[in-house]
Amino acid sequence: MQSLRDIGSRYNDLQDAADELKAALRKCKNKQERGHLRQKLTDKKQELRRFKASLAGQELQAYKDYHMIRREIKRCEMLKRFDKTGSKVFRVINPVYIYMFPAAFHSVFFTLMPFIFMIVGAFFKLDLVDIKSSKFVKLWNFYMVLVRDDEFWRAFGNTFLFAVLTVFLLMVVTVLMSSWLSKNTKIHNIAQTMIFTPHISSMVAVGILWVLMLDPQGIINQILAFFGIKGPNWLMDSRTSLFSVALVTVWKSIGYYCLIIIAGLQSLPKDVYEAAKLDKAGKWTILRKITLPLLTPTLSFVFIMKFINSFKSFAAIDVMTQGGPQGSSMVLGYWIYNAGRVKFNYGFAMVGSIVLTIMVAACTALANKGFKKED
Amino acid sequence: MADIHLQNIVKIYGISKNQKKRRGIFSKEKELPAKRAVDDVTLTIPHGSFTVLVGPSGCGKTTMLRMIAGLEEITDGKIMMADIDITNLDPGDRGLAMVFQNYALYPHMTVRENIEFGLVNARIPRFEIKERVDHALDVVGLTEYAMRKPAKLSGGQRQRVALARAIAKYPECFLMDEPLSNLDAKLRSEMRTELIQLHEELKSTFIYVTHDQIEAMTMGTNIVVMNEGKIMQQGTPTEIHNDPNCVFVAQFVGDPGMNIVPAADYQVGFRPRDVEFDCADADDDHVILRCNVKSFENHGSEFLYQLDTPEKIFVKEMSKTQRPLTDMLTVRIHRKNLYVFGRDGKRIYVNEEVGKAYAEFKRHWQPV
Repeated sequence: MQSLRDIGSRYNDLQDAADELKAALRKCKNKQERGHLRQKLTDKKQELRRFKASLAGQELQAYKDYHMIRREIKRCEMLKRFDKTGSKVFRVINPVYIYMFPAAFHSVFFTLMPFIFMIVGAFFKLDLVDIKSSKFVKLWNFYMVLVRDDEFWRAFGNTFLFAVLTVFLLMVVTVLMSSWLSKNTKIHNIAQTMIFTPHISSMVAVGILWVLMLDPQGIINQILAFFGIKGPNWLMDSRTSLFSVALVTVWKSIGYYCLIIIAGLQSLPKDVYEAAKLDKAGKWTILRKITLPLLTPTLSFVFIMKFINSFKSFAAIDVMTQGGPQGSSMVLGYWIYNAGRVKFNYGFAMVGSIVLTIMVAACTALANKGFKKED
Repeated sequence: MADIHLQNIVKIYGISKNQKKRRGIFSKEKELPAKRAVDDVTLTIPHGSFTVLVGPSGCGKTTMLRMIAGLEEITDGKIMMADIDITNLDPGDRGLAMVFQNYALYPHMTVRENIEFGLVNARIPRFEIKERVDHALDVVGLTEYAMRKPAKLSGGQRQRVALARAIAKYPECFLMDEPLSNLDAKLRSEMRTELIQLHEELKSTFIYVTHDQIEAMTMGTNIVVMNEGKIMQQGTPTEIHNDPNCVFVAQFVGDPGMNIVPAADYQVGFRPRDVEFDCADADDDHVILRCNVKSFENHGSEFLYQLDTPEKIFVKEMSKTQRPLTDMLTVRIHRKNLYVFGRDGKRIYVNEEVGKAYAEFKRHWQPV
């Protein structure tokens, strides 16, 4: 027993001496002395190695244990030092700024600056190729778009109609669907997955698929014909084109919003439902009087997100109708793209974007207020 | 009168397919081992009684209450209310009202709407609803809070709203699932007396679930002690306390429970307060214990000592003399205060065996 402890103390002595030499070496500047110290250090290390070689069996095990203990102690000391320097650094700089930086960078350079550029650019006749030849035209762009352009106002109206249509269609469908789907059985899980799949596929692919299906001779009209109904021309008809696109976007986003609403449903307190059962409430009463009011926060989130998303909708229109026929499905997003990237009237596009921004902001604020009032 | 009869009620968890548990994505679905939460219980709850189901956590008392309420499916057995079989009735049709542990108020409705909701669903005419709600609010003393929402009420007030919701339904039977466990100690004792008064006023059946034996003893007129899904003993508080039929009940009831000491083939028990202090004169009817004190609790009006023995033995002293803890403690127990149980925990009433156990106990504990 004593001999094992001796091994420990001898090992520690040698290691301490080696560490001291190392520290001295780090401090020392004199070249000659450094060489001297380095020689000493190698000697000590050799001694340690020889000491280890002289051990065997239980003694060697003891040596190894002492080695491990020493390493563990060193590691803890290092971590302590790390904590100390960490807290020192964070006392000077608030860590919030560090965490915030990536998001702040992104929002400044990709959102805020383009936004300012948009507002300034709306007063110029812009030339993006040779920016110096842009001319300041005061309110001419606004005049041209807001007063002289009929198509713009049509797009404005269409955007609004499109947003209201999609949001209400989506809300009704998702609430009904998710209140059915929010159970945890195998069939419900499979159904949830199936409903979610359109969300994974790209809007372009979905758009092309639906263009084929909504063709006057497409599968949907054929099915309708089977029942003796003469289907409309869907995308080709100026009366139904906007509605058809809205239908497709709703179909695509059902899965995503269903998921959100299901999450909301599952976080509702269970005992309230049990109390309702004891209060003789039927399924319809429970949905109307308990689920919907309790779900208001989730519903308001879905409402606002979908509203903003439908204001911005572009891909679906681009793939399926390109604003046609006769501008019947032209929405602001597509109008801006058309004015800027097709006709190269960047000034007009910027004016359109300003209008769109104001529209989104106003609608969001209104919706927020409306939902807050209900609480 | 509408007595409630439970006939051979069984509840087994883990056999229905919805109860399967899955851990991780790739592991197979494992079926939970079937567990009998309520095991062949037959019980009669007389009309107008304040029945308390009491037992340690996980003993199936809440499951039983929920089965009576209809919130839990019954695996086997029958529930009768008077002569009507209510086993498969909807919860709303059973004429019961339940008060939940965390109140389960509808957070988006005002107090009045909360109380009205059940009545409106029961298609009760509007003038009667108003009358009933006003009466219920009057009973719990919350009339001026009728237009508030639950979020703006304190815990005790929310509990009262839940009570009022139950009262307004004029139910055959009130079910209460640990309704006081979320309140602080002072409010709890207040609500306790109010519940007792309410029971006297309404004269309907109360079924009350709790794990707190003090609550059970103070409130109940009919106590059902449960353990591991089985009923251990049913009776009035006095019966349960003074005449326990098994070791479990003896140890569960009382604060602290009965001291149980093994003696040969028997187990002998006595209540901590059924001892006399500082009497050393032995005779045939007394057993004397001399022991060191292990720990000591000051309860203000009484002192609780734990004796330094392998079994946990507590003794309670009601006098106000505080004795030095270093001294040996001498206590005397009268023979009539001893309870004798068998090895299996069942109470033994046969006189000869009781005498044998007493002799064993005395031989073991008599100071040398």
